[in-house]
Amino acid sequence: MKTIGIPEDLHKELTNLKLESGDKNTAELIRKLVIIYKEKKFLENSHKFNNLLKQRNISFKEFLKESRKEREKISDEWFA
Amino acid sequence: MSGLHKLVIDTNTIFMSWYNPFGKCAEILRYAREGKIELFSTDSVREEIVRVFRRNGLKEREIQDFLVDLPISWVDKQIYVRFIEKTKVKHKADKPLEALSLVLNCEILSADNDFKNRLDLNKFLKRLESEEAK
Repeated sequence: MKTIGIPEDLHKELTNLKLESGDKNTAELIRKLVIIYKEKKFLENSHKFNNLLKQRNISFKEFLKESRKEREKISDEWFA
Repeated sequence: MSGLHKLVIDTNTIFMSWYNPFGKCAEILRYAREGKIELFSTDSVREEIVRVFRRNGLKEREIQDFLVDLPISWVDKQIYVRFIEKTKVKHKADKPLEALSLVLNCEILSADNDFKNRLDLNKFLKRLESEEAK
């Protein structure tokens, strides 16, 4: 176990959230918040990925073909 | 080693989950994020993602943004390289992934039908759902 210092208002906020969510302890609540944050980042990355395909004017299938070519190059370089 | 389901994930599945964030491949990443399954892949798959993004004009920081939050443990080639000779997959470039699956004794999540030990995604998701319902 590790201890982190947080401002009093944030401590109060977390305690209220814990009561509201029914989590057993604050660690469980923070764990859930981390997952939610990562899910949000994942959705942002997904949006960026689809924008990239649009900007480059390539289909997903073509993108995968490019990836395949890179895989073959890496294979030749790393596992010759 | 924990009792969680382990899988080796392929590049095409990772890209598919970004392409369709509400599809089945993304669902697998969601389970991993929640700590319900463990995902592994090779350092060569990671390099493949870096190179194809670089080729499409992304800067290093933008590429790292894509990679940093993926719930995947990247395995160094030193761990799996000696298993390459035991692989059965036809294409040389696919051998590292199969080698890693041999090291970890688990299935591969890939869109590529060439892998003999490829995971049936639909069955696996049903299994996870029924385990969660218990």
